[in-house]
Amino acid sequence: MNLTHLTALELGRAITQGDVTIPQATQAALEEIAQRDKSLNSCITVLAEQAMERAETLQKGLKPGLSPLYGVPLLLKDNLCTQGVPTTCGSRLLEGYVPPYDATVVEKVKTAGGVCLGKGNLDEFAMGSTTETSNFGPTRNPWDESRVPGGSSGGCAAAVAAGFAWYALGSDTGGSIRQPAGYCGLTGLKPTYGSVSRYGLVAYASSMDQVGPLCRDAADCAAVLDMIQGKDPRDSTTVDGNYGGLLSSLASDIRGLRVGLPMECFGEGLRPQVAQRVQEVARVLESRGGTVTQVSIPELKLVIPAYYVLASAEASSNLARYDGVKYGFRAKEYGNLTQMYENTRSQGFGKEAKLRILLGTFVLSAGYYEAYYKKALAVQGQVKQGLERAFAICDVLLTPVTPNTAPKLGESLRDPMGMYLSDLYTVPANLAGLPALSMPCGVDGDGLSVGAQLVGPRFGEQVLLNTAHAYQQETDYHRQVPKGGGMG
Amino acid sequence: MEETNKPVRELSRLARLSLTPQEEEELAGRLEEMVGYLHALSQVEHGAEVEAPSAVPFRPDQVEPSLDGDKLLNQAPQVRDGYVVTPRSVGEGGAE
Repeated sequence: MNLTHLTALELGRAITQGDVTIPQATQAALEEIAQRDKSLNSCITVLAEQAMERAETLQKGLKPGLSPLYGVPLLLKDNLCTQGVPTTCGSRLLEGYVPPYDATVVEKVKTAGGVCLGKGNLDEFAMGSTTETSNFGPTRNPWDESRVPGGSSGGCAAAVAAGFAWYALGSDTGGSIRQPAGYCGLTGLKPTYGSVSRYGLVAYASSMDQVGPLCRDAADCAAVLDMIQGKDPRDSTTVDGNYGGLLSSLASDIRGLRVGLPMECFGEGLRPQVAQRVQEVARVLESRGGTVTQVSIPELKLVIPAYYVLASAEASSNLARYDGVKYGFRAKEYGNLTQMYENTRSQGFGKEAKLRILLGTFVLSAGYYEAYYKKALAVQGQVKQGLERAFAICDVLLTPVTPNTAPKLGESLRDPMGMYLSDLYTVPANLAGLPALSMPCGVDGDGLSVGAQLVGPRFGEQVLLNTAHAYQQETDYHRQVPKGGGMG
Repeated sequence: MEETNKPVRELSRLARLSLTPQEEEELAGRLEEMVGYLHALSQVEHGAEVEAPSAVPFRPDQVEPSLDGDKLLNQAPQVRDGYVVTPRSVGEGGAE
């Protein structure tokens, strides 16, 4: 059995049945990381010793009736606080920071018997789409190491694709789970805003940030979501709901499913090969009994400027807390308090974080607030209305994840505007707080993974998972692994 | 660009960032490009006032164990006698 090619649920079953022990699985993952992560650079911290100790303890506690992911090793994006384990956000500013508490999602994963292998690389403070803005160097895409894995959860995506972990928890503010999942051939899901606690997730843009899974298939995503969704008294933006049961209700019967193709997502700028792969998804869904119709959501036209105004505004406010006083990095030299703040922040933040802080400061400043921030809020309202209108006649929307496949390292840094514009299809779900899933749907002419996105109505995770599951019954793109990966 | 090139120094002062001349030039250029792009928002009609989020009901106030003070202080770059040390915050200019 090639352990590192199994899905998380398959490994969970193998552990339950006694075919594999938790220490064996953990050891296999750690060996893969030790052998191959020097070139991929997907992990900022590897918890080899801790993970093995935890695996031994969990193995002793193995009994019937545990979580289906009991004992399954995972990776956490390094913007999730982990008690006693450094949490860097890919930034020098959190140098030396060791959180004294776990994020709620980390607690939940531990309670369910997860083995944390380490912390995944990311764009600094999750600001980027390529994992090249990390202070710990760029992560490479395991499918083609001259290319980026996407971002900002690129370390987690590369690691799961490479077989270093069976799943990962990432965060998604404008596509940071779905886009790297798309570039690395994984299934990733950004949950409905308010369904997963953000307590202990280092804030970027709080009104849009959401934690979610990066997995090998839809069933794994369902299992992880069952574990992490829920109301949390420590995050007042979480909402009550009927959580759990996504995996047990997972079905591949999608007869009668109404699939909408928003025409605005298939226009200018979309690479023809990507469009073709996504159209093929529509045909597969039709062959399983779905009906596909074209819809128009003209409100999507201004999503990119609206998103960058709102996200930067919130970032400039959230990142104001990094001042060198209570934790993290402090500059060595300063003459007074203001200089201490300025030198700490100037030496601690990288270029992309500085740009977004300045942009956020600009759009919130007197005279510009009305012209930018309020207009962006108006667009956000219109986008919500446009999507609601679409969901009156559709159950899911099908779009590409990105207009292209993974770019070469360095390309996006030379053309940052191009990088921002490529978030076109992912940001609407964040602006509207809706759930959205990314799944692999084939490759382009260079053999690079193409991602298809399914967007659902609020709390529509089950329909997204069922649709993806149905698709994955017909196709095997999600089963493909990069060359050089895997061991027995 | 008028809006950002000159005021980038003022923005960095507001954001407590001291940029090197090279950084200032590069970031001013990138800001100019982005702000130019964001002008697309000017065509948007102001919609109805955005609804304020509904008030979150407060939980009952009760004493619960919190994070350990010493552990939190351990995170601070400089601590003396159980206090975080910073330069003087009133009447700036003094030494620590």
